[in-house]
Amino acid sequence: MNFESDNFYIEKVLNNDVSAYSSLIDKHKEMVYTIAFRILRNREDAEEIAQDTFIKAYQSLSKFRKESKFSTWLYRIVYNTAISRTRKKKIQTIELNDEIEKNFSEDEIRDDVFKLDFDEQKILINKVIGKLSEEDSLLITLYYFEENTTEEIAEITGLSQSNVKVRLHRVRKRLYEEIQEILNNEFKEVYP
Amino acid sequence: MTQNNNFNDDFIRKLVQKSDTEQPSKSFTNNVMDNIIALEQEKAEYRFSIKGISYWYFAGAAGIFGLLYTIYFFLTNEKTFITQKFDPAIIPGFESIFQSFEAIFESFKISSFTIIIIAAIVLLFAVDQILRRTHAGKYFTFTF
Repeated sequence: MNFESDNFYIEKVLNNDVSAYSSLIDKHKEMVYTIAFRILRNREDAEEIAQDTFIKAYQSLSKFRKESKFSTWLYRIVYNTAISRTRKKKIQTIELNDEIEKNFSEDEIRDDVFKLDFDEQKILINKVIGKLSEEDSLLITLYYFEENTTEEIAEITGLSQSNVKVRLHRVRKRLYEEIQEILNNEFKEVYP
Repeated sequence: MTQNNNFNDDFIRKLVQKSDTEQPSKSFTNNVMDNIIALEQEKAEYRFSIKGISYWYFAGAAGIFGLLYTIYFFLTNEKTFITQKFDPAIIPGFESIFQSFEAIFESFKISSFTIIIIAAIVLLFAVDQILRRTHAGKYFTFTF
């Protein structure tokens, strides 16, 4: 489905064309729902929070200043709404010099992954994301999947930009570890 | 801080982009739009009942009433702001209009109690409007 720019629909909605908002929903619902699901890990709750997010965004649309992307603004709403639901603190900040011991070869892992076909790689990465914590899976979704900048992720999560960078650095290592583990264990059993 | 740039990994990016996003229900968009349309209808009903009618019709009716009552006041108190000296030619024309005003207000005697009631309604209306504007979208539940 081809969509116009977000601003196109926003202008229409602000000019009393309420139906134009359904295009904005269709354009962003998967990502909004994915963010809610990454945090809540429950389909019903994620659905409810994602719906609340779009209603809140609609009610506040006239306050959207267009200083950031509409998606960033929307993701911040769903992030805050989902975090409120879990009654958890926001993603905790971490020490900037907190390093993880590296005990794997990235090149070997890459070579092993390249040997898999597209569908196998898809299964692998879905499994890896499923094994990550809520915070880590959210960060890699925002950064690697949705290609948000670290500045935008900082805006969405309320973390400092340097903390986002450090956490992404750690998540990346964790991804390699999980890929290696899955390749060496369960994945070999399914795809020897 | 050398680690800060190490997260930008094309291999990971390409791999993660092969992952699936989560899918909301098929009725997701319709459910949200139903809620939004319901909100819009509430707003429209509010605008129609309070803003649409009361603001302008109420203000217009009050203005006309005030104007007519002022004219009537001058007529019944034998005070006048249009004198024969001002323009004797147009007075006969106005006289017939003034006579019809007299007929309208003849039986209308406004008491101070009525004025207090009207003032209270206007005050409540004004307070309601201010609260609705300053607390838009917020709902209050009063419990005893």
